[in-house]
Amino acid sequence: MVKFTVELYGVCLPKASSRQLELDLDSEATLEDVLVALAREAPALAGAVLGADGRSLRPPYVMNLNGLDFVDDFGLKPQAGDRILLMAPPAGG
Amino acid sequence: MESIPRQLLLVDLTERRAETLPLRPDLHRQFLGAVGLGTRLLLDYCPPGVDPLSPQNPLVFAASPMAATLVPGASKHAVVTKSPLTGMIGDSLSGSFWSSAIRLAGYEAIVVVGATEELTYLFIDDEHVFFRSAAHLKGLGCWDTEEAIRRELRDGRVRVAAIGPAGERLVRYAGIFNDGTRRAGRGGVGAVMGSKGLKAIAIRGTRPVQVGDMDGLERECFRLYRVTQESFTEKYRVLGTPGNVLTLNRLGALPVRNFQQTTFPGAEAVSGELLHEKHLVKVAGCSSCSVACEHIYHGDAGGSKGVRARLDYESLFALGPLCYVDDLGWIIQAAERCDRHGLDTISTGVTIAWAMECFEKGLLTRKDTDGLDLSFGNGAAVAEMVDRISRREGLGDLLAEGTRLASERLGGGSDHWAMHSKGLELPGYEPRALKTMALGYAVGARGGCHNRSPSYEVDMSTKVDRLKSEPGRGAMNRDQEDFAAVLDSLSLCKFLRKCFTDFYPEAANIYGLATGIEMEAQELRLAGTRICNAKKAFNILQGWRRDMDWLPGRTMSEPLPDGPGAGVRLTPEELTMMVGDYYESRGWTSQGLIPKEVLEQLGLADLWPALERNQHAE
Repeated sequence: MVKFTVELYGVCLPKASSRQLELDLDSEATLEDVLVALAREAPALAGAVLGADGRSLRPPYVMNLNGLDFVDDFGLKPQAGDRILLMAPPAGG
Repeated sequence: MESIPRQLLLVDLTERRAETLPLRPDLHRQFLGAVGLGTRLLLDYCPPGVDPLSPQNPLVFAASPMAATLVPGASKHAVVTKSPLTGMIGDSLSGSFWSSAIRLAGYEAIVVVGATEELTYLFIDDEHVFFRSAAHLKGLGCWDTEEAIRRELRDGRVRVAAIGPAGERLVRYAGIFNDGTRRAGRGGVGAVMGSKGLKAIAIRGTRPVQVGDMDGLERECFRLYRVTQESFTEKYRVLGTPGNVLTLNRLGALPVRNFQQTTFPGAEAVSGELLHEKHLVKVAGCSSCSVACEHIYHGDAGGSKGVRARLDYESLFALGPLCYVDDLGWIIQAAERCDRHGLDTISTGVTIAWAMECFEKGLLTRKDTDGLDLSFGNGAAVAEMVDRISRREGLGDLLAEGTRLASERLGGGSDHWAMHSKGLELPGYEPRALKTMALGYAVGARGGCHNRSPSYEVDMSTKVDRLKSEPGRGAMNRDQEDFAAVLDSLSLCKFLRKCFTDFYPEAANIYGLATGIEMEAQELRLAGTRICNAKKAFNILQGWRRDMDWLPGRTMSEPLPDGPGAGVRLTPEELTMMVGDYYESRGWTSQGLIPKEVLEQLGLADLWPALERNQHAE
């Protein structure tokens, strides 16, 4: 098992009732597995931030790894210790 | 239905005369409305080389072509003029009900020329225009002016756009405020209004607005209303843009301490989440808006209790983290004072942050500040400086000129940390951490701006490595500029931009239903390109030079100090490469000039003779 930390920002935060969630997942886990685990840990995210299938994100929500790379390939396998950010990307107007 | 008559109100303050003129039938096809229409009218009415604060500089108010219809979010008006801050085009948008008022009075735009000795306000009562003394309104704040005029006209439905004391005193980044807290803030449009002796414009519009296809429009708008209630807009509805603070802080893209840091230890204390939990008074929306992003907060500081202000991310970053202030009470106070005096919050905050760094480095002392401790983090000093700037009192007189002129006058190398592009103070997206945005800031027609060039969206996506400069960013920035030009000219609120599955065909359809001007997606897209080129043409005619497409010294000599991108640089060579890439993507010359063929392709050939003279003179 490997530990991943998911940080939640903006309107994701109150839905998860937590600033961050620790997830223990298989070492081969993908980002899709992270989303499935998230739906289990924080059911209020399902249907609102997570897609109805629980394996995708509703627009405009995105994932970012360690504050650096934005990712949309949910088949990607995060590395042990990665911090996964869940947010609506900053925007103004 | 393209034959729906569209009119312009031309007001000459010197002659105290107003006349209604028909607009060319093809103008709304080529330039849409708001920013686009205003740009074209500015080109028509503004002579080259004019002093922005002289009577010859026109002040153009252009409505959304879909205002006062059912279209959600089509409620902004543009104010377009030659900016006293940049000497280039100044186009600023404001939301709420004023755009509808212009159209309900029977106009698409109002062009104000000339100037008057006696402080005056205009009352536009449908087809009647009255020039009224505003001597009794001198020195009044923006909201107080609105209220005073409504009382005087005995009509609470009259819509008013006004300047505050800052505009009267020609603070170069004064704005024009309407409907309480909405503002055309950027670029100093309020100073231009003040230079004309025009305190306010009040409108009572009661005439019907024609649409192209009422049934079709109703169907399409109800569909769009439903979409706007989905997840696309949730962040705007719930937290508003202050929700950006923690995310940008985490990404190391939050400008802090006058761009000396990209993360803020006090970020939690000034977060949108905390504002929402502890300070929210109410949320409000513009005319026909289904999102309601406007968040009004209250705060206590310095003996003042319950001060209320509208805060968006830009005001929050500029008056908070950028000045190293982590006290929401003082930030709310400073924002309220900016609104009351009629100041742009971004330019105000960035200019004060520049002065704080001068104070930190000993270039300014307590003698210069009349005893004020202008240290970073002093929220009370920020609020006090807002007052002094609006009064042009003491150091406030220097700061009222904006960072570019102020740093030129103070010297001592302070231009290195004067954070502007073309004279317009930078907004709250750190360019070294967002390289496509850096390019957007550098080449922006109105100066460093995230709205006319929302290229931060490219950086915060999977399309690019945001910390890297590389060929291809030119075309990306061009596309973002063109897209923004279409949104700002329709004018559709940017918060709805994700609500379209395929923007150009869907927006073209709505535009046709609302205005009767039927166009294909490609034609709408081309209108965005045309508008961006028209802005550039205006700048060239007003003296634009290649070296103006640049960024402040700090940005290109200091690496990112902290955050996930710590150590990353933006070099002058990288920026030169990206700027050249952008020119090429536009079909411009390597010097950034517009060739005749490009103008012809865009239907702007009439601009060539003047541009040719100017470009040869260069």
